[in-house]
Amino acid sequence: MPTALLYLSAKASEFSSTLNWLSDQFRSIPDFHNRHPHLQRQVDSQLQAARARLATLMQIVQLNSPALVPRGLSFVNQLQFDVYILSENYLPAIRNESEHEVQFGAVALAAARRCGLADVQEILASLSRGHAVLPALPDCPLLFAPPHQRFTLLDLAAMYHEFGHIAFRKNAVIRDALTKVVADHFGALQQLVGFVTPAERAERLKQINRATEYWSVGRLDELFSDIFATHVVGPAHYYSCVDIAMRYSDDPYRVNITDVHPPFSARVTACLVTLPPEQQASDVGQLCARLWQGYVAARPTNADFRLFCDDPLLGDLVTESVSRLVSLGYPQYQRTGYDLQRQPTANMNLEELLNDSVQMVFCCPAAYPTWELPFVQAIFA
Amino acid sequence: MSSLGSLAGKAEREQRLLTRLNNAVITLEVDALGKAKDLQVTEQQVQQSRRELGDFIDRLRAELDERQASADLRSLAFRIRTGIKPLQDWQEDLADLSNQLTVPQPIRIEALPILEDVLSLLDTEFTDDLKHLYAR
Repeated sequence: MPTALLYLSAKASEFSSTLNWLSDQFRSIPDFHNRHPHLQRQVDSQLQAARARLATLMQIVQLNSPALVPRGLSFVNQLQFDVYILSENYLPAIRNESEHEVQFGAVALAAARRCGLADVQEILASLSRGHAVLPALPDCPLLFAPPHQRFTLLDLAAMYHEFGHIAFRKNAVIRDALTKVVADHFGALQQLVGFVTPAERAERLKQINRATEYWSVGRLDELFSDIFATHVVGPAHYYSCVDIAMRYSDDPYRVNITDVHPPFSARVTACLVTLPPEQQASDVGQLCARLWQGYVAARPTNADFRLFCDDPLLGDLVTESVSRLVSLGYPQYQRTGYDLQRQPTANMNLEELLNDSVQMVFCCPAAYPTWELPFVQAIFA
Repeated sequence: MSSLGSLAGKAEREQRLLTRLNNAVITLEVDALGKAKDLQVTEQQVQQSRRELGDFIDRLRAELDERQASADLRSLAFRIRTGIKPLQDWQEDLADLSNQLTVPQPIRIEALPILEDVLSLLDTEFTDDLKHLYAR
């Protein structure tokens, strides 16, 4: 047997053991079915799909055909991804799930449903790291948040950016529409290259091609997730984006091709443009705009940023995204005012509360922790 | 600031596509090698695989001809456009492959490397994403 097929045979054996072990581990989780009935079905389904991939890998080994080795290697990598999802993410999150994470997951699920993510059946929460989502099991995403997030409203708006990834994953129509916006924008720029020398023309076209390729589906996903979050939670997410940009102290205009996130200035601009005029004019809207203008005032922009992330492109991406979100039924955040006199109740609207909390922390920073406490207790009760 | 959502979402879409296409290619290869009966591959499965691959190749051709903008095929199209093999050669090979997939008879052995070349580019994209996930 050729050595590559020997390797595939060894990997098939390894994955067979790993999948058996994973099945046992998930089966041994106490009360798994009662705690997470939908998730259990999705885990079973993912394991079943992995077993089907393993069966094909074994078939390739049996066929003993060198021509099929590359397909076998492809299945090895796919099985590795299955292991990454199940063994390295979902299993530890379920095994270690605390009462606080159950409460957080329930609040996140209700918020996701309000935001139009109707297919999401359960959210498995892991309060173990910064905000992130693993949207691999479609109806039961794994949502990460920092441990302190169960005890404060501040920065909870970042959770809605993660919901944006779920919406992006679900809607090929959005992915294709945004890809077309990028293609049309830079296609039009190519037509505008005027009377220049052939060398200058070639250089300009090269730059435009770089800019087109920069907007990979991953970067569109990140920008769309900012737009989605601002669409559904309003100025509170605009603040969240300004906040993270200022915390990072990065060059807001730096076009970093190794980072899937667009430059902060592009993200903040997209959030601002997503807000309807009355929300832009709200206290938090104006405050964020002032914060951001002060932050970028002394920072020079650069040629790459002006080409890759120019305002007309960002505007078109926002317009297309919001139009698709509206037509697909993702609700827009409506309120423009604030209610700092409200009393905690069991069925408060979290999106409104998050906007109140940003208003409150800037209006009365010293009183904020005392103000926030009963709301946090009521929300996570 | 995490890249998990966008990276894992992309990898998951690629995995779904690769699984479907790999299974279809293996079915056609088994058929082309005359081993379909030995492995209990039915004529219906062969036809289904043919349709699956034909649809995919046609979508890829449309992307390469800039007749459509498909987000999920963009990286593959970029790899094809910037690779060593001239774009025109790709377009001719894919057109030939598309024609073969519409004819109800075993695919020619010479056409299999073209399918393999396309899938290997998808594999590269998926493996790169997997590496990034592990490097996070």
